[in-house]
Amino acid sequence: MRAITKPLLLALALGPALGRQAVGQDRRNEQFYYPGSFNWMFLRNYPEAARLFNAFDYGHAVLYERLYTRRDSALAAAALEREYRYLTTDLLVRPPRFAVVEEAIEPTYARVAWRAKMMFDWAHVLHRQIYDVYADERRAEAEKDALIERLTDYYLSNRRLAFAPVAKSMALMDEQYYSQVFRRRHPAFNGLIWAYHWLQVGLYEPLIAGRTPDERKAGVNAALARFWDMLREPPASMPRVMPMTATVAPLFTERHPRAAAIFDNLHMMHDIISDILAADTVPRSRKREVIYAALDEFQDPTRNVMSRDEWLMMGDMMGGIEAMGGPAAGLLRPAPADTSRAAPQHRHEP
Amino acid sequence: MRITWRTALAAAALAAGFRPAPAQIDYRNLDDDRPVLVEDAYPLERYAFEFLAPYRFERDKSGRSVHGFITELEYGILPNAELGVKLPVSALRDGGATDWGISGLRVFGLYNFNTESPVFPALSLRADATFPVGSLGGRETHVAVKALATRSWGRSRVHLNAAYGFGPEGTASAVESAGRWWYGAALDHTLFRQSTLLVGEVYALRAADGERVQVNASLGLRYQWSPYVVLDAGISRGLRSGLGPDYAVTFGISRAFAVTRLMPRGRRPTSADGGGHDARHH
Repeated sequence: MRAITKPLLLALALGPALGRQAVGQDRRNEQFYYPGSFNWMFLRNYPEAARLFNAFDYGHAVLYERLYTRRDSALAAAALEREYRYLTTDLLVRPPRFAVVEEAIEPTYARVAWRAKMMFDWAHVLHRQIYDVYADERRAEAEKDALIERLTDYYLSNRRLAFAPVAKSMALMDEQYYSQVFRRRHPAFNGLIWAYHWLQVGLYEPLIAGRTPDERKAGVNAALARFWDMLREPPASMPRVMPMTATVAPLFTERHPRAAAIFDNLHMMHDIISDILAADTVPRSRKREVIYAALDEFQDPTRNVMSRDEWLMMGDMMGGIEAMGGPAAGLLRPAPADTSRAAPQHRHEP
Repeated sequence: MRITWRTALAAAALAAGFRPAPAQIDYRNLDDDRPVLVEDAYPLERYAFEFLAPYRFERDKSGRSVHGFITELEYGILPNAELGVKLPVSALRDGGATDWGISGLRVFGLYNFNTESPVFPALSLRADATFPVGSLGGRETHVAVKALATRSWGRSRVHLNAAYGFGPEGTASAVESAGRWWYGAALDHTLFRQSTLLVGEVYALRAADGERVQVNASLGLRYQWSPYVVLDAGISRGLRSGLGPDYAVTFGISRAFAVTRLMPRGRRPTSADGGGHDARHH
């Protein structure tokens, strides 16, 4: 009896103290998604695309884990080369049925930068729920638009985790002392991430532009085929600059500028964290601090914000749609007969 | 017309006014008894509900057997905190006679202090109150407190639980009795492509003051069957001669959902938020 009483009393006494200690640490702060019958429509109607995003989750997570845990840049390069091969020849080809538990793929990174992980998760939920709304064939267009705005409201109501719904300056990504290290050091993996981001925003276009379910399905399949094309000759066949939502998804941006800005901020923050983790100029002991400072900036809608016109013109200033992977709509053509180099067969996990 | 578990659950949820919401990685949320006694230190997400409908069969080494249907509802009521209620219905078979009945009512709350960090594991405290409801619910009210910790290594996690029960000793409920104290450790491993969690545990338990300490072991798995339904299964066995379960098996199904009316509505940005543009520009 005593053997258990003492440790238990000690634990109870230490509980509040540990709670105070934990103040300097991250709280878990998980929040459930907005409910509705639209959920899972994208997986039901477009399983090839929906499952591909599960593999993207792994790609994002393993990138940060390898960059943070492989302190030697040569070791990091070798680890990322292995992960690139695994992703492009296996996991993307046979993506998981359900979302990947990123915490299990990036446990070390998640311990260091839990808030960043949660902010990405929260924005990815918005991404996916918007696909679900577009894939819900029972709803009229106006109803879909209203629901997407409601989802964006719900996203923004979680102030701990929401990115600002206004476009932040590209200088935050490209003109810091750590900027562009990752893309220079790992061009193929960086191109893969940009190809992910091209598809993540680009898929909205055929879902909006398609006038019938068949047209929407054909448009989504064409966008998927374009994604696989990007993996054929890396990095030359990949986007050369970060795909901007306003450029790749102009129809979506016109309808939902807040969500479009959130996704640009999310994708910029993806690149910024890759740079911080890869940069030797950010000591390992300061990586969390620098990441969290960037998160603070990207949650602030009042500073370093582009005007709407600047934002819409940014795509042209960065090289235009072709530099970002090409248009995502108007691709209605049969999938290439030979996608074997990047994707021998697109199968699902049993 | 063939009625499946999935359609039955969906119909029940819709009849209750619930709308399903995505919860496709719930298989990694290790709840107590689902399928092992040790649980992880993380609460349910804010605004989430989880309904659990498990079955457990246990035969102890004296030949007594118990069937238990332990329905449970949990809710993420506050950030990093959950509340729950369990209402077990059990059948106790002893010496050729079988008694059916409600086996107590348990309410509980769990509060998580922190997620894992480079220094600390995730730490939580949980409190349970068990009331003597039903013919097999015992005769006394019990309160128990539990400390929980979770630490991960790669795709594996270790969970430590230690619980102590307060209150008079007398007739315990037929299932889900709190015991005087117990402590245990579980190790789980995530198979992310299969959306499956494998878990094993060992724990020591003293059912009442003066009784010998049981040492029991369990193995189990949790499997994401659909985006919001998780199946679990487990087996247990006592490791000490004459003590604990000769064997026990459990199967369960759990469903995550949310209620639209309980979700925050959010607000549109105002000019005070600043920024270059928002939806009102269109």
